[in-house]
Parts: sequence; structure tokens; C-alpha cells
Amino acid sequence: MLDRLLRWKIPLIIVLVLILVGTIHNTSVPRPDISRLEGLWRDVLSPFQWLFSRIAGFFQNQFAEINRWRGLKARNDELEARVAQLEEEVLRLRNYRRENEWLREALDFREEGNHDLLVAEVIGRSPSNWESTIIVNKGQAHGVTSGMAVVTQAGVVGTIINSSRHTSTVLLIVDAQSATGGLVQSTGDLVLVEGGQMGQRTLLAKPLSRDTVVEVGDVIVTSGLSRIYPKNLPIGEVVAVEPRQYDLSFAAIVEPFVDFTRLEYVLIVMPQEES
Amino acid sequence: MKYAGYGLIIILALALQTTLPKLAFVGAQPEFVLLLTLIFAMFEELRGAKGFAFAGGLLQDLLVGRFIGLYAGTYLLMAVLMSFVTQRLYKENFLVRFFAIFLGTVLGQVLYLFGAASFGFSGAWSWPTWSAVLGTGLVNGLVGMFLYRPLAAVNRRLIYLHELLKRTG
Repeated sequence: MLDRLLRWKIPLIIVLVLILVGTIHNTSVPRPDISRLEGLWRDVLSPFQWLFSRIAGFFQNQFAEINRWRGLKARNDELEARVAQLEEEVLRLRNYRRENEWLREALDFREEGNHDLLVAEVIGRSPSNWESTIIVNKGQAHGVTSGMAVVTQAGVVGTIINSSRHTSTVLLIVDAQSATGGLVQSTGDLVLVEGGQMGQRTLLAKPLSRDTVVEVGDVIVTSGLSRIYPKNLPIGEVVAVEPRQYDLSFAAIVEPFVDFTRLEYVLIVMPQEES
Repeated sequence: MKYAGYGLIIILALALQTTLPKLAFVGAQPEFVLLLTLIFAMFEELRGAKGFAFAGGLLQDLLVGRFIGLYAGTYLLMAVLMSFVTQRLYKENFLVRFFAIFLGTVLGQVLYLFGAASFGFSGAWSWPTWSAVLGTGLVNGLVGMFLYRPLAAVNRRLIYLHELLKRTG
């Protein structure tokens, strides 16, 4: 029995090997067409491949999503840092732009008025509620002395009342101690512009003669009679005219052109003979 | 019943093998049919293992469409070799299983490449080729280490159902 089996087995193996070698040889070069058997087999397998590719695709997508989330977290941190950096830069650039605009206006103002002006930055305000002063970053080292006028392109700010080597204190025109010679631009009548509306940011313009006529809307400018302020610097606009006692006189309420709450830079008017 | 089950296992293995993406760390995809061939050769009697190997290899050949018969011959040879070797080994040991499947996969692929090269295949025996061969061996070894027991259980079940159907008609 075994002999018979072995007798048939060896020729069978040889035949099988020969068949295999033949098919391998015949299919060893790329073929333009596949056999029907191959086509049928591929068709049988295709639904399973479709199913597994869907499943594999699903898991791949999930992994990709997880990786994407991981990446997003890192990216988010990076972008947040970048945003913070850019916000800081934007803030700095805005400051530069505002400073630039201000300096351009100051330059125009200087050319128009032919004044010698020194730009100073406001670095502090009065610690007391009862006086209106500011501190600027220019002092004796820059040639600033007491009595110098301080203005902006909007109008009169005040006068220097004292100065250290690198800082100066400016008494604002709205302060109670301030008094400035002014005139009504439309009529040329002289007025005395005083601060002193306690807690208020308005001025009082008092006429210096009986014939002075002041109406609401009039613009008050510096008279130039004092040695402090150059002539025709705008001070403010009359917003109300109030009669005084027994109607013998009146006082005009003047709203200054300068917004004292937003002062960042000011111009110190330098005496021309000294500069 | 048993043969239908084997057929389904081969179909699933081939479908999985052709749809799984290449594993990034080895640059190759697992050879599931070869893996199943090697595992079957471990627990099946030689005749059954040879049949499974030949059928699986031939179906893979038909899918590849080139060198038809080479996978069939290679897997048949590997089944015989694996069956011969593992009869003398303690297959329940994880490490024995791993190394047997790893070496079997590597040898199977080398044999296939060698056979293909004999029939004009111009693949270079460069490092990427060896990396893919070793990588596939590693993956097959790792998967086979854990797949052995479930597959043996499935095989037992299939044989049981086969016998049941045969006896009950």
C-alpha cells in the first residue's frame, strides 16, 4: 500500500511542481488581461476589501483626528503666544502712531506760529485734588525755567511754575491760581481769563472794561500783553455769559480747547532771545 | 463546513492584508495568509496544513496576478517545514511561537523573492527590502503569538461542526 502510494506520490509532486513552474513562468511578465478565474476571485474578494477598507479608513480617520487634535493644541498654544506678541506690537505701534501724529501737528504748529518750542511728555499729575498741575519730563537741563508758557496745538495749557533738573511742574490755566491775559477774537476786547471753577474744567473770562461785549461762541485767545504767552494762542470758547452782582458786570464761562484729561505731550514755548 | 470556514478565513485574511495600510515603523504590511499558514502548520496535521497553505497561496497568487503559483509553492513548502520543525518544539511557549513565526515569515518571503528573482523579478536586495522582510516577520511574530490560541479554538470548533454535519447528514 505504502509502496503504491509512494509510487504515485512522487510523480504527482513532480507534475505539480512542473505545473507551478509553468504558471509562474507564464505569468512572470506583466499581462494586459487577467484570466477569468483571477477576475472572478477578485470580484468575490472585493466586497470584503470594501468592508475592511471602510473599517480601516474609519480607524485611520480617528487616529488622524486624534493627531490633528494633538497638533491643534500645540498650534493653539503657539498661536496664542503669537497673538499676545502681536497685540503687544500693535499697542506699541498705536502709541508710535499717536505720538507721530502729535509730533507732526506740533511741527505744523511750530512752523505756523514761528515759536521755539520744546516737546515735553507729561509724566505725572498733581497728587492733590485742589490744584491742577502736571509734571513734564523737561527741566533746567533743557533750558526750561519758571514762567514759560506751555501749550499744545489745540491751545494754551498753562505755565511752568517750577522746574528741577529734568522735570518741570506746569500750572494749568484751569487752576484757581492761574490768570491769563486774553482777548475776544471777534471784537478784540481784552479779558482776564482765570481758572478757579473748583472741581470744574472751565475758565472764567472777566472783562477789563465796561464796553466789553462777549457772546456765547466767541473764541478767547491770548492777548500777548504778558511776557508769558505769545499773542493769538487759542484759549477756549465762550459757552455761557453770566451777569455779576447788580448786573454791573458779567463773567463768561469759557471751555478750554485743550482736553486736560488727555494730555500726553505738551510744547514748552522757549523765549526766542534765549534760544 | 470545515473547508468553507477555512475559505472564509483566507478571504478575510486577504481582504485585511490588501486593505490595511503599510505599518509606518516597518514600511511593510503584515502577511496574514503566510501567518495563518504557519499557525495552521503548528496545530493541524500536515495534510490539512499543506492544503490550507496551497489554497491560501494560490488565492493570493490570483490576486497578485504575477508569478501565479509562486506563493502557493512557497507557502506549501513553508507549511511542510513549519510542521516538521514545530513537531519538535513546545508550541505553547510564547517565545517559541514568536520565533517560529518570525523565522517562518522571513524565510517564506525570502523564498518568494528568490523564486521571483529566478523568473525575472528585478527587485534589488537592498536594505529597504531586508527591512520590510524583517519588519513583516516581526509583525507576524507578534500577531501570531496571540492569534495562535484563538485560531486553534476556531479550528477545533470547525472540525467539531464538520464532524457533526458529516454524521447527522
